[in-house]
Amino acid sequence: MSETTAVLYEIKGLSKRYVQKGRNIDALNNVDLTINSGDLISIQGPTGGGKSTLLQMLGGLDKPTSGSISLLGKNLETMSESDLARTRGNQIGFIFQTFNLIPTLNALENVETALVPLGVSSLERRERSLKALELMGLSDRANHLPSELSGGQQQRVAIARALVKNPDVLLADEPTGNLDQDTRDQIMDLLESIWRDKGLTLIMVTHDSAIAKRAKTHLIIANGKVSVK
Amino acid sequence: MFLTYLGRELSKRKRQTALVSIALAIAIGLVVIVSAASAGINSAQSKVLSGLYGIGTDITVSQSALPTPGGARFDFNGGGDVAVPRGDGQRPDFSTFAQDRLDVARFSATFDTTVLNQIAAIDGIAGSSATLKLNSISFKGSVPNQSTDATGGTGTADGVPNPATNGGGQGRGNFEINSKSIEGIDVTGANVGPLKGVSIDGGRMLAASDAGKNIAVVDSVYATANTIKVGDTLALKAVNFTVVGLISSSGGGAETSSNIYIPLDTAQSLVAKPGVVTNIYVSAKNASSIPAIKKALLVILPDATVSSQDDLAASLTGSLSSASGLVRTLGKWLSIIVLLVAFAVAGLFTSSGVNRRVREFGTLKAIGWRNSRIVRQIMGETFVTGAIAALLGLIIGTIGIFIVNLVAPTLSSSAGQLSPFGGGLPGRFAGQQGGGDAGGFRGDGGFPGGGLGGLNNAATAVKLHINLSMSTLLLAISIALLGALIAGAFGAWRAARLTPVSAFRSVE
Repeated sequence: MSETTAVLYEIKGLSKRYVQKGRNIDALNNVDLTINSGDLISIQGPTGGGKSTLLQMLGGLDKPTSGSISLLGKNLETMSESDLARTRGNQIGFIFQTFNLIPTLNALENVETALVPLGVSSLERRERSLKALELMGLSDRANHLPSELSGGQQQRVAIARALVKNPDVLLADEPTGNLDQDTRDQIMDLLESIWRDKGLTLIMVTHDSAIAKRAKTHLIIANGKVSVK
Repeated sequence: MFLTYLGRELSKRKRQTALVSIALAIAIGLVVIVSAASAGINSAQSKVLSGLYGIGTDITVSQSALPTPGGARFDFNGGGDVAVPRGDGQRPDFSTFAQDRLDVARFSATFDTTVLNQIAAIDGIAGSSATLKLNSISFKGSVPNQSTDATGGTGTADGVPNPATNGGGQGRGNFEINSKSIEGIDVTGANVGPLKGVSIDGGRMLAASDAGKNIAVVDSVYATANTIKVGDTLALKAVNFTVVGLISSSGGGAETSSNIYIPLDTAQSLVAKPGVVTNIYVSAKNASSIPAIKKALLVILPDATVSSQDDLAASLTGSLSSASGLVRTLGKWLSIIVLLVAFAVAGLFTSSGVNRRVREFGTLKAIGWRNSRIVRQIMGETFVTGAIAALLGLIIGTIGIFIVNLVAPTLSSSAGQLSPFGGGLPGRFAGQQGGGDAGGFRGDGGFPGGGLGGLNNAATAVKLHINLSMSTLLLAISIALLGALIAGAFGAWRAARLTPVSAFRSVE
């Protein structure tokens, strides 16, 4: 992959099997993969090919049926739920296709939710969240509810929430899937600039080839197998 | 963040918060009203019981006795009575008569006062006193004269003519019967007894210095009915008593157990039965010792009726008893059913709330929130919902209590079944041969047994007044919070079982 320094993810023989209506479905089948810090990776593939499953494994949201996956040397598949929650809280930022903002909290409070598990004081939470929103160009929308924001603004709030804790990796699931073309480009520009400026690792799942082509590494998943394009 | 999130959830999801709160509040309001009504009815029962047995009495002891042969017999004969002459100077048409009887209350056995020493030695007894219950019956009127050879007959106690005594004759007499209950009271300062805690409406209470004197205090209800005032003189078995006080039950206008109260030793002298009592009142040091004291009393007095307050309360009859039964059965079950429904509604709404928020909780877990924090958040939301419900429930309950007090239903009660003071007047009136002037009643003129019974069974009317007590308040708050926490626990359990993948699954 990238020629940069440290290995971020080390994946060996990773498999995930679901049983659906009595049938075995191999979402991931004996995947070996290494992802280095600072990579910008896109993952493409047909629906049901295992893209989201791989993203969930990378985010420590689900455990593999077999194989191993380590983040900065720590095996995610053997971690307790509590350690996994801590890892997600400290090292991993998520961006979802449907933004997944808390509908009853305003933009600022939504960003703050990412700092709650870290035990950051309320004052510092507020300061850091305001800065993150400012970086997204949303300082004037801090007190607006998600329902009062456009799709692009909501996704920028979600990106602010993912970035505010300075994660090692940003995992994005169809980050522009619900946006129009102009907004899609704006969001991608923003993500690229963040990746470049902050030096973090960005892994995104997308159906959009135009978006996928902007990545430095382009992975294809089909029938649970991963290949580099 | 906890409070901000909590406040936003409740304020932004007003409909769910309102529905859960109102469901719980209605249930709590009902529980408040039923529980306050129950307390009010218990209080009314206590008022009735304290009127009959005095405040602080835990146990009463009495003993029934079969009527003595001959019953309360009134004997009429020519010698003692006055004949009303006819206008023609011949035989009088009517004879008038007036007789008073004063005796130990019918069907009441007497105890020797020496048992009081044995009772005082029982463990757990705080105090005891004894009284002597008497019945006074005055009978006056006129009866038609018969021919000189007319022979009166006698009726039997059960009202059947006695052919052996040739019962018969004419019965156009005119007479009136007046009965009253008198109770000899321990005036030496006993801390328990029928007059403990009564209200003094005029004059004073009997005091230790009144022992042996012919003075009396009179129940206010009886005094009003018979226009008796403090300072008046009452004749009991031809002995004059000065009225020194008028009393009523602390229950507010309820009748006391007897009509007239006199010193115990005076009562014993009146019926020439020194050293006997009919009723013993016992107070226990604590409620837990009452069963043991009852057992000990039955060892000393194996044939006696030993009744605790619970037994006495169970003996109450009338609308108060019906209301009590209604509240304790229908009210209790209605409250339980409504509470269960409210808990179920709260649980279902909380659960459906979790269902609606699957992606929200999944997202929070994905960004690092632990299960415990999410559970705490849900429990906090339902706890506040419960607190709102408690407040609304108390308002509903208070309005209900206000309406009940506004209506202030009057409940009547009597304690007839266990009353040791009741009993009848199964006496017989015997027409005696004597002087040839006394007309005999027909043989079937005897009063049937129990005909004048229940002298102390007069219904006591008590207005139902209910209050929101601290215990009811705490009960309401506890139920609200418990219901909310049960509902919250159900929702939290569902939320805890969600995996962070839920944040993605809802998208797919």
